[in-house]
Amino acid sequence: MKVEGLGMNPIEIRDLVKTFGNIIAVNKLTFDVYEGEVYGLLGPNGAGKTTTLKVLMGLLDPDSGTANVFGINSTSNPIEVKKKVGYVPEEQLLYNSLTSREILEFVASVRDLDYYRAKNRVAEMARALDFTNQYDKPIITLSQGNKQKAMLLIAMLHAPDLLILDEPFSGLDVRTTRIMKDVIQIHTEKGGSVLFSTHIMEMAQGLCDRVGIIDEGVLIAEGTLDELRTQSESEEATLENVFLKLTGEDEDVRKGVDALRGALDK
Amino acid sequence: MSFRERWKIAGTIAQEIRFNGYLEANPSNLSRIKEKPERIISQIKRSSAINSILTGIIVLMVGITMVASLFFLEITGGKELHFAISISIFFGIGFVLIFFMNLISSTGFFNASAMILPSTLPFNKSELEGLMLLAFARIFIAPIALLVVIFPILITAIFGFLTGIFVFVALATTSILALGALIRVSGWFYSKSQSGTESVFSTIVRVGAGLGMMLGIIVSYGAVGFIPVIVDFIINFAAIAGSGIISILALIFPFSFGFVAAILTYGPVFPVATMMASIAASIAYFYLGFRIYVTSGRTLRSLALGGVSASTSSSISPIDLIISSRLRGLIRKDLRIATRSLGSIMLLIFPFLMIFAILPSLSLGIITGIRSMSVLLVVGYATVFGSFAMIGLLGLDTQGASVYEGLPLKTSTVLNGKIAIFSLSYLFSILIVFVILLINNLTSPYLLCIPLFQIPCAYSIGAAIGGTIYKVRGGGRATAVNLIGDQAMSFLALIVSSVVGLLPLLGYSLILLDTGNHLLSILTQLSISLGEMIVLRIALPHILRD
Repeated sequence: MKVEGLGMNPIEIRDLVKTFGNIIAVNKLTFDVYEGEVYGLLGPNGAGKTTTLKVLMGLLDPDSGTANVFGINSTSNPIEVKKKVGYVPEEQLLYNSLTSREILEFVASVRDLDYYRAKNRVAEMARALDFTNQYDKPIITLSQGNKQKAMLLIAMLHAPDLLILDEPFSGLDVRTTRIMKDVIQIHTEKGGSVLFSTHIMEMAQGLCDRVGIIDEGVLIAEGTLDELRTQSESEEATLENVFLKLTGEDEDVRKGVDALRGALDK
Repeated sequence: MSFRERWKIAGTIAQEIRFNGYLEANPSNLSRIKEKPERIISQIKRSSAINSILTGIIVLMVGITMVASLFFLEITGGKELHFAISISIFFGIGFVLIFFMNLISSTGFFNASAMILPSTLPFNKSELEGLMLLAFARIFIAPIALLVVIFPILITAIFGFLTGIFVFVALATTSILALGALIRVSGWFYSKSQSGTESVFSTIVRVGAGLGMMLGIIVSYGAVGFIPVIVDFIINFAAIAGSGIISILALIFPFSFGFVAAILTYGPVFPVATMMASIAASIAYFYLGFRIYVTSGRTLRSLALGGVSASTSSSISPIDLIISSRLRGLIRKDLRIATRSLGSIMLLIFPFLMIFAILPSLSLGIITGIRSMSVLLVVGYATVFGSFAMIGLLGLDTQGASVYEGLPLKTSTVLNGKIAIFSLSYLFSILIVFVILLINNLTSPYLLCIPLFQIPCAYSIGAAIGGTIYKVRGGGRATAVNLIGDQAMSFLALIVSSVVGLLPLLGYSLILLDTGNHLLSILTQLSISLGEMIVLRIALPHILRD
């Protein structure tokens, strides 16, 4: 549900700028994520998606602009932001020698969760994710999909209102991908909001209420799929075609495919 | 397949095992390996070469010390018994050297994918077992070759061919026994460290085993200088207890070999019971060595390919959680990670080990009374080098960035958790110094206070190192550093800990030099260490940020 006025929406980013030396990673970025909405942040590699999410989580300081979560400023109060958010980063850097149980005990202790609520939530989620028999295995022995499930359990243990997922579908098998999609849908059905970054267009098309397309740190388009089709003047086009057209990559891709076809013909 | 080809394949496997063993021992390298693999590979090669050179030097030192003691030391009990016990001690040290010096690298064997590839190639079971044994032996070939060759040559030159040949065979058997023990213990430790089930007891077992192993290394190095004392002690003990004890001693490894070597050198000089016991036991140990040699390949195959059981129970435990306070949760997590590998355990017990390394300097004043200079040296040494434990603790989180990034954790809470663990480790080592001082003569009773008044430094050192590293590397936020990879940070941390840790001791020294008053000196030390603690407690919140 869209709420007017600053400080009311789950995510509000205004004129965000973040540079790394001479490179402008995020340039004057502005967008909101509304309550009960799935918002997809799309962009090619190096577009500034992860930087935006890290600024939102208070892990990076912006050069200028603001990033607010439920009205809380991420830069000045990252601890309060993290209390409200479930975050799954792109990299799967977990403690290899610990089991999921041990990591969840650590997370539950840090989040100061009630024992019975945390235990029941873990038990229900582990059962739903088909993770029960992985619960006591060291992380190093888990497959990539199971590691992603462990990260999801960690992110959702405190029943957050907002999920921020950075490339949650990378390298997942069909089954785990389906589970991730279901998790996102159930979360929003219960009133939660989701912001996720991806470069898998099918996922964004199937899941997102709205998407923001970011390229070289600039938000070049935003809206529902229909709105984006209108913006790109390509009726009936898939999100992939809309994306390529808006990012100006459609011509490059066509040339690349032609060159490849020639190479393969020889 | 010819031996040359098998030797070459075993070399490739051995390299992979060393690689995995090194990563196992230095967990903070796991996240760096993709960045600079060539640097880590060269570190591994360097470390293997240093291990071999070190073993060679120790073997030479022990051998020369032992032979020299036979000729130049006046030890009661006759030269034959002296010879038998000295040779036995050498065998014992050889066993310990092979076992302890290679324990960390050998754990890499069990988590290595090194043996998976050969197992897919067209080898039959016995060829595969032979290959595994050869790969395992190749890891330790340099130190074993040095051990088995140098000393028998020395013995042959001095005591004759027969004794030399026997010592050679006995040393080869000792090496096989050590390798057999190594295979089983490292396999057991790996299974314990990777076990999914967790209890206080299993943590204690792991820490205890790690501590024992690390102390073993130090004791084996330290024992070199004490060989004549050890020999004298055993001979005196045997003289008091009677010839029956000598016969029992002759049954025990490695003394059996020592007695047989003495018989071959000097003739039937011992009572019949002692000679029979040593010969029968030696034959038994030769047979045991042969059996271990035959079965080791099989054991290795089952451990490396069948996998080490990482769980004590096949049934799925019910989903449960133990929830504690933030700080306790942090401490428990760090303790669990720190006790899951020998490399991490080493970090945790570093201050404790440093105390053992420097303690002999106190022995200089045991009779006349220990002087303040010796106490300052021991406490200062433990303080400065113990700080590596803090840097190591800060490096534990290199693996867990994905967990940390989403957690509402204050940087100060993270640092306090690390400081609490470091403080326990530091406190334990300082209390050892205190107890040693308590039971010995001191030139002044006030010297007892030096280690006690250094205790506030546990907080100060932890806070100063953590604050500096977080500020420099993380802009004030909690960050993980790598003790080996980030040498600039390690060096900076060493300087910081030296300043913070040594300042109270320096204050003590200067006041003592100026006034000669011990009471005033220790009060100065206490004031400085408490002052540092207060200053850092006030300054830290301004340095750190969330």
